[in-house]
Amino acid sequence: MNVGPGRQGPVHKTRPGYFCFGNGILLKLDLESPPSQHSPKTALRFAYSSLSSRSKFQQSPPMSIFEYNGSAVVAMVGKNCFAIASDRRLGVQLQTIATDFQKIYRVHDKLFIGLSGLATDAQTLYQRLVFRHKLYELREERNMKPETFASLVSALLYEKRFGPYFCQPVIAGLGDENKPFICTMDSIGAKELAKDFVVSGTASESLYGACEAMFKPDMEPEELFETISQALLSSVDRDCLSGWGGHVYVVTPTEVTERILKGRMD
Amino acid sequence: MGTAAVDVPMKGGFSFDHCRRNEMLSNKGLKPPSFLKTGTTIVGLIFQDGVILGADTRATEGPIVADKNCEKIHYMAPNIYCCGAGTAADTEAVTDMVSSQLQLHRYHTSRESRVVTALSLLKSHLFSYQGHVSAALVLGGVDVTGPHLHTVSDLYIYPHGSTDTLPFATMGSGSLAAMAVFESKYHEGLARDEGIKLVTEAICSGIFNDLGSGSNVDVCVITKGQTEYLRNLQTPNPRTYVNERGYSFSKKTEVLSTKITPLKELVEVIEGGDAMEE
Amino acid sequence: MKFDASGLESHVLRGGVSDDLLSVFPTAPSFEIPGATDFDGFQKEAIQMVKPAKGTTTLAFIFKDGVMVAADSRASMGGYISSQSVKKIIEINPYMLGTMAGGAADCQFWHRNLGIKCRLHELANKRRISVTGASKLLANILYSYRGMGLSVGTMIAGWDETGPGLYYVDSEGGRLKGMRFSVGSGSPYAYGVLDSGYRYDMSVEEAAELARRAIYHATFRDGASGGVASVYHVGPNGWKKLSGDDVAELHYNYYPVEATVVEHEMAETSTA
Repeated sequence: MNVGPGRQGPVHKTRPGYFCFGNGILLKLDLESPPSQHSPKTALRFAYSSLSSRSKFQQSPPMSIFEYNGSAVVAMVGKNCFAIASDRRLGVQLQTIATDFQKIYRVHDKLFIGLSGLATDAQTLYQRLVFRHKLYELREERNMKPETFASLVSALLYEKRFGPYFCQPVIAGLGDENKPFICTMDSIGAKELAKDFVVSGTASESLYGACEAMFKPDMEPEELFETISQALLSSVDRDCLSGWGGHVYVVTPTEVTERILKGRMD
Repeated sequence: MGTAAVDVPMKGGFSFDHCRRNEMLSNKGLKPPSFLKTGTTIVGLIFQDGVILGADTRATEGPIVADKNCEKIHYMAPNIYCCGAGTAADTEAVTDMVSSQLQLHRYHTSRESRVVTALSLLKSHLFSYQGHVSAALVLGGVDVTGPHLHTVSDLYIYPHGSTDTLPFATMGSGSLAAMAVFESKYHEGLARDEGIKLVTEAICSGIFNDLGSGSNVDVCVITKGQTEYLRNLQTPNPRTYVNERGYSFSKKTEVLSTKITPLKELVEVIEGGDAMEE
Repeated sequence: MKFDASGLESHVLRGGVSDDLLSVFPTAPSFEIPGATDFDGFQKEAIQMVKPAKGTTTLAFIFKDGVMVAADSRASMGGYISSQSVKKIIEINPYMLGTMAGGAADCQFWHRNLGIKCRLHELANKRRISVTGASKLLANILYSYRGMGLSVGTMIAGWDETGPGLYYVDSEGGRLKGMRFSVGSGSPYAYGVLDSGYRYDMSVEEAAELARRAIYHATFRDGASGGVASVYHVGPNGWKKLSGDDVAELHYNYYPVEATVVEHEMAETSTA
């Protein structure tokens, strides 16, 4: 808990030069060389002499930590139903690691959460949410309402106001009398409730555009599926860091339909 | 056992677990995230028989309008409301926290909350975080001592958490536009209708002249013993470009696999009569 | 303040060509130079602002029937895909191709410039320029601008009197002769396919398929590569475009989706 600069805190140092995150993702750090060693010049000279993969002809703009793994999550409200969709890529910056990655998690039958952003934080956050939700179920002997769950997520995120989880959740669920509920948050838990659609992830800007154009109120499940799928696929086709297929859940009061979409694999 | 106790915080408060890691990441050149902001116009004024608060409804994240119709007038107590500008999570959290403290205080004292109580709680929270909790608030309410209007801000003056007591106030990125209206038209003893009109005008001035503010006008009128929350009192920016025929897709989405899970009927409350209760 | 580039002009140009002919072209290219103290830093910063950073996969290799050149077609700015239909293989003349990686403007401009120089060489010497010569012209120009912010990573592939030729040239002034190269952010993936599948005695069809596969695999793994995989072949009679396939279709050709659209009905103790 101590973050004072004077005290050596429990840094998860595994071996020299590597840092271990909570979920086992290792990050290699060049601790020995001073920051100036990472200047473009060093990199360029290296690239030339070895024709290496780390050539300068690959782009290297300052990357936001949200863009480290890449993601696109969107949720839409229909008539007595909702849909939540995500892409399927897990990458490390531009390198695609997996194309069957789960970003949408089931909390209970009628409540889903999509976590975009840094994958390690998303998984940790999800595990904490499951834990808290189970405790709630044991104590209350009922499922959590989406509104309550959103407040829980918000509280967990705001607790880390000064050292946030780098993820942006999208929450979608059916509440009392099967009223659909969707909401998103920033990484420190500022709730943003919406009546139509919510988006997050690296493709969020394109998703805003696609959803603004394609969404209409009170869609039936089939039309809702088509709309959210088209919005997702056309948006991720304009984003380097997300895509590689899509994953869509359409939830009605009686059933959950989960579909895997065929998308561009580049 | 130990882990459970750690994970569920026994008491409130911030956790600084990730600070060290996140600092390392930003030192490596990874940009830290931007948060949801309410680059806002919020105003308040005192009229004949109470206080009127007003706010626009735009929430932004960088250059993106993240929410076109958000709520910026927060509930503090039945007789006290508070407009928030700044980082959305902070304004939300700080007003919620103070609101619950006020409720507990009411339970304890069985008296109506006073605006100064809310003011002190807000300012001591903001001061103790020395500007890191970034919220600029317009606090208004009517209590046993009459109508009050305050601003709480950590954005402009050094000792973060400075407060002010005013007959009319504006805050947020559109505060200059709104203040221009107030300065030219405000006078003591405004009637209710005049007050609402002036607040609306000030907010509209922010909506139309400040890029950080936009969409609709929310107003809250607090008088002795009565509070009226006029959500979306004016909607001067309706969507004008809806395609009547809707949107049609040239090519249907191709599905690789489908899995349908029927849901169980959840409402199966098996009550074997209340005699069984132990 | 002006940067005088007259000293950079190739002297081959002057020989044998009358001044009249040369006067058609502006004497020597010269650029305005900003009055900044940290010139290098200013350049690099300014260029980062205007240049669409382009993640790319390009490759070229020599085999028994000539040179195979292939590239993807994506242009991106940060995470945003600004185009899926960029022509990254530049046709310098009917016998020579250049590939594009790095700054789009830098590559396009200097390849066009190289085209002019090659044509002038042809007019002056009554014979086509060798790939060796052409690549050296380009390398010399790039070297003269070294450290000033140009970003070019290119392969010059062609056929001349000595047969097939392939050179890698970059804006650091490097120039390398080789049998196979790949340049760009997707190059490691392309090299993987290329190195494992390469044989010198391939047929044109086999070589084209290898090039296509290498580009496809690079687009799959690399976020900044994608779009269309175009394949060119340079033989004794000049270059010819062999194919341009959308990699989205290539993926499902190479890996057909097994048992599509199967409806799983999970009867989960339903409806009591």
